[in-house]
Amino acid sequence: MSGVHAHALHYHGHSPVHRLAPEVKIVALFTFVAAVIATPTQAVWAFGVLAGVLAVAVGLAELPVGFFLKRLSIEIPFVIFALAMPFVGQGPHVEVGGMSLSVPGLWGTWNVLAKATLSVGASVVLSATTEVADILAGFDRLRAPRLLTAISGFMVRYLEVVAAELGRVRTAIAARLGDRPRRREAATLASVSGTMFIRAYERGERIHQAMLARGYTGVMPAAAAPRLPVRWTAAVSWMAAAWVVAVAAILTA
Amino acid sequence: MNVLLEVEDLAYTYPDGTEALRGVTFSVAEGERVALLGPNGAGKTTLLLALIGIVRAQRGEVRVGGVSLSPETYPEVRRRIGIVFQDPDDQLFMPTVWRDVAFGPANLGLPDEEVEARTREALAAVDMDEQAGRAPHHLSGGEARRAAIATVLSMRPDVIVLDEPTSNLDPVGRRELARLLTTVGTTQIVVTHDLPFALQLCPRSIVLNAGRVAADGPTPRLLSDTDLMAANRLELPYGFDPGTIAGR
Repeated sequence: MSGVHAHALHYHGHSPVHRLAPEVKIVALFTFVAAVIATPTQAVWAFGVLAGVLAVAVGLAELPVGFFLKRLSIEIPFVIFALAMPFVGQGPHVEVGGMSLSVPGLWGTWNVLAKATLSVGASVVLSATTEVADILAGFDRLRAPRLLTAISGFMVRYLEVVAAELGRVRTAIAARLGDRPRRREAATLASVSGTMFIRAYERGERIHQAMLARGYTGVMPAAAAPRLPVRWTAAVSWMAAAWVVAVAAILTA
Repeated sequence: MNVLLEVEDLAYTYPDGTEALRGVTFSVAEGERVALLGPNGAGKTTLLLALIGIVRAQRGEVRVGGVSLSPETYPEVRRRIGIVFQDPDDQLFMPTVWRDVAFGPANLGLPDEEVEARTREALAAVDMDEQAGRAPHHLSGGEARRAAIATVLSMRPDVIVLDEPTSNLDPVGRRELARLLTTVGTTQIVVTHDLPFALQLCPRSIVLNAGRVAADGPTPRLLSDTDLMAANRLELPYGFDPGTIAGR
């Protein structure tokens, strides 16, 4: 693989986690998230330990803490809803700094905040250490439906092509609208979206022709990408650690 | 020379009534490099698609290496005739260059080692082995064009058909492409508006106009025939005199 990277979420590196086979990382991500979800809300200590398990992965991936925290911020829009829960929740209330907060609401906020942060954190480790193409190849090897991985692959491939096309259209509009207010530009862009749809549709047709020309018969061939070392032992012990915590929390709850 | 590709009386009318091909006949011998010239709307792209049955001609025949085009022979004909489309963004649809070059051989149902060997060989032939893991949208125009050619080479075609290969290339990219095409070695059909490029690479040209073959002969002679050129909306760049340049 060359040094040019396909997506902005990727953090270039050669850590053991970067060199791990993508299918292993995908399984590890889902297993970890399942453990986080299974952990009872009240077992606050368990979330602390799970955060430690996640920190081990971040450390092994050699991701800078600043980079990791910045990528975590993607969860903010989802967490904002959770912050409202203590104010609108029912049940017993407590006084905190002159405000009356619902106790079940507070637990609800904690539940969302802790579980979302840990799950998003684990996803950040996957996306930072794995190229999009490799993630898709990993899903292929895990026998995910070929059609779904193919569609995701096309989406990633053509998102930039369509974005570049839209960018050119915007430039063309700006060139003719000059300094008119942005509202006007927005209205023009809306009417342009129809044209964009037709362009994308026609491109789809041409791609289909190019696929047929190379013997496409309706089934995407498997990814024949070079395989990375699997190292199940290390990955499984990491996943097991998360589940030991979850099970201990369930039993003590 | 052995005749490799035979096109006989090929005709196609689009559903809206546009007659794109009105009986096209020509043949190409093994090892030849032929330019296909003609104005916009002459039917060049339709002809390419009809060669491999993506557009189904209503009349006429296509034979390549003795195999006659029919729905049963589509896979075989599509392996033998490799088409490099005009826009590399259409040709390169997989997440990485490697997977794109492997797409054709994988569709042929070849074993993994064979797919890998052919992918490696095709990438080396266009000098793109270093860029195998890159995403197509991160390639330069020249690199994308070379990758697109590799996706066809990996199928080991008998004839490569290139649609406007010099479009969107800078002069250096265009020169490198010319050199690449002379090293690739298979029979080639180059569809182009770039007449100096045709003169440089192709000893023979076929002029298509209004869905018919208007002329077929040595490129230097066709490009020097001012009446023929004018009648078919072909025009040389300003100051370009094919008489003073030695064609191949």
